[in-house]
Amino acid sequence: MILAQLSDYLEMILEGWLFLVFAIVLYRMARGQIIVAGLLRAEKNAPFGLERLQLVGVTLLFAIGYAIFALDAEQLRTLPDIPTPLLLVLIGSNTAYLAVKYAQRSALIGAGGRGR
Amino acid sequence: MNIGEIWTWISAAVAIAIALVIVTFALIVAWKLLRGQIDLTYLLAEPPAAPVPGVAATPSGPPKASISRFQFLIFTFVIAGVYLVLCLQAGRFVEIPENVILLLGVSGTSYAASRGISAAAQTSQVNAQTNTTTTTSSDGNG
Repeated sequence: MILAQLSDYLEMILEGWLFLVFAIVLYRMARGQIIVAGLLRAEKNAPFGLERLQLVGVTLLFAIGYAIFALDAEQLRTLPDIPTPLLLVLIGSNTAYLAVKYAQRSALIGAGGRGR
Repeated sequence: MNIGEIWTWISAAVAIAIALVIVTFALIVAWKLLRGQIDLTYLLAEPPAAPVPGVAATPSGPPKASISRFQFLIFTFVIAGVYLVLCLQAGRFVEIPENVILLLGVSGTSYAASRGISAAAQTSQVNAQTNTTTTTSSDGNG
């Protein structure tokens, strides 16, 4: 009886804690206390990088979709599996981003410029 | 009170003590995060690199957020959060499908590869700068 109650309290506290940490991170991002500048640009003053934009989009859509699906299927009592085609989309998105980044850095080195 | 009841109370006391320790750790971390005593500034950006001995410091510009770090953070929050919720609901460790582990692996590998590309570019730049400095000083001596 006591252990069951303790488990319920602990569950509430840990879920609340996780939500609080997530909220703090979001709040600090919104206030500019976590550096998010340059997330979508390869260099300062450079135009938006399409490869970065697509990776952020795929990541956010994937994460939100998975969270909704997993919490909706809570009664399954197990983490839901990710369909292989979706995983391949994510791998492709990451590969595209890395390939463009590598090409840009190689071009910068070749031109004697600085890469970041 | 018989032996069985005594053991029940002892196990309850131990469970309460363990729960208190975990909750205390969690509360301390949350409190320090709230007060800003745990610095989150570089959560998504690479901290400034240490100066290389023998090479003149070059202005590195303002820090820039890393998209790989961002992805790693999002996936960690989502997977860990969902896992925690499901474990607490089920009262046991739930099974993790293979593709979920693969997802975290892809994210981690992407982060490592991204860091590798950046580091290789910086090394090439430092080497080029060192070679230029060496050439200039030998020209001046000769």
